[in-house]
Amino acid sequence: MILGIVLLSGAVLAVVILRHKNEKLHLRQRADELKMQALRAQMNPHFIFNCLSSINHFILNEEGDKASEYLTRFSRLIRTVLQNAGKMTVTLEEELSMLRLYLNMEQLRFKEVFDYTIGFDGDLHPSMVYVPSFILQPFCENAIWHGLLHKDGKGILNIHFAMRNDILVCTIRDNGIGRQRAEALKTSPVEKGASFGNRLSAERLSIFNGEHTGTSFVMEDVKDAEGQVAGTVVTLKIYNKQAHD
Amino acid sequence: MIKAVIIDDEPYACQALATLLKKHCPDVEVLALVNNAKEAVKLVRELQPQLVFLDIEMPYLNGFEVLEMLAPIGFECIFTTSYDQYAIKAIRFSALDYLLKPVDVEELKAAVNRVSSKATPSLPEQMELLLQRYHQPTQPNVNRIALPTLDGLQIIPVDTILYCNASSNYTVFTLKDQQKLVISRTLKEIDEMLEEYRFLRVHHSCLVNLDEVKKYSRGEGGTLHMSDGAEVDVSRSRKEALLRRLMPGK
Repeated sequence: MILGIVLLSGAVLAVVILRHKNEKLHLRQRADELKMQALRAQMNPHFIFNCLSSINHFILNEEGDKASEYLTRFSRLIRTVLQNAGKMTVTLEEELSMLRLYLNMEQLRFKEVFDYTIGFDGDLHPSMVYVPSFILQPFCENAIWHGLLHKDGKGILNIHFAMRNDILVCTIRDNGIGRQRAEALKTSPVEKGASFGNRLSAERLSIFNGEHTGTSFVMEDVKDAEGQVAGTVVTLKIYNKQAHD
Repeated sequence: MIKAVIIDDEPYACQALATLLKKHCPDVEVLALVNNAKEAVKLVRELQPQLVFLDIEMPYLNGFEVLEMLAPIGFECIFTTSYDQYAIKAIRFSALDYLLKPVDVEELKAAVNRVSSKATPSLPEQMELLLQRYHQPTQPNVNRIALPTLDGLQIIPVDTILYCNASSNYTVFTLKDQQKLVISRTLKEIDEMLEEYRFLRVHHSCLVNLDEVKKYSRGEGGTLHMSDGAEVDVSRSRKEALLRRLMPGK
């Protein structure tokens, strides 16, 4: 299906090159949109079913209030995701309210083994900045699952935003075990493929950015004073398009 | 005690709400649970509750239709819905209350609190607005909007609004007659309520009625000159969207 859509947009593109030069750009944009749609962010099915399993656990344990709280939050998240699903872009404000719901769910599931912060440079107004919807969640999910959950002691996830020459720079920093150790811990083929969501997001981001930025996505180790790996930082560059409506 | 009736076609949804009320809202006495809209109309007439929890999506008669049959409304109403953006918009437009299902305890407590601390009952106009908006949305000259002020409620035609400014959790409305209204909603909420009309957020703290723009002068983002003489800065990131809305042909 995804392949079909991408092929289709490719075919449409080929016909047009033979026709009008002026229409070329327009069609190119349309093709990009189709590609973006094909790569549309979706929530990790693991996450959805794990949430349901946790709720089931509370029910079986006769922790009714907890189950109810969990379920209510979960439905709030799903509702927001459904509302934003049809949109190419959302404001950063909307993206972050979705992300907070997601992070709160993960905190509930893992009995608060991690904390998170979301910060901005002073002159940035989240209601005025547009991003592809649900672009941040897979990177945060990756940081939690492969960095923070294996760590002894409290994990910390810092998400920060700054605006540099119309480019929104987002850094997602965790103090987890680092990429190398995380990779070694992965056993099942499913887990090995867990960065699929990341790749999908990175690809969506580079299509969204078009030719405006160099690299959209960089992943690096965080080193402590002794040069030891002390976490991972992901830097995303999101070109802040002026046309949105 | 607030005497209440719960109307929802799904029996379990009814019971879940009754359980939450019993546990967390001791001021509310649930007189009856009804799963059938037609029966609900009869029962509400008979029991005369002060508060009705009314599900919107029901077969045969939806929540709004139940209300229409019960007019004039002599009770407070909290709508319940699982996913109906269209209905939610109409409800917010009329400054009425709703809860999303499954119901969050804190939201339920807050909604019940608003009912019990209400100085004056909901206006019949609000119900009219709701039904009007539901049946024929987005006609700015016909449509009026109900806005919660600090001491009550103000109902105004949409096209009398010049611009709205954010003021932390409040929004200051400037109207054509230069009246200022302080509304207890955020600018984001107002922006969402007015999104089908000719309004645009040109700055993080300002929403303007595009029909009341007299002049635009270029600049980094530029400046709008409004019909009352006020000048509004346009943020750089909104310039293109603004020009497109002002000159749709180009």
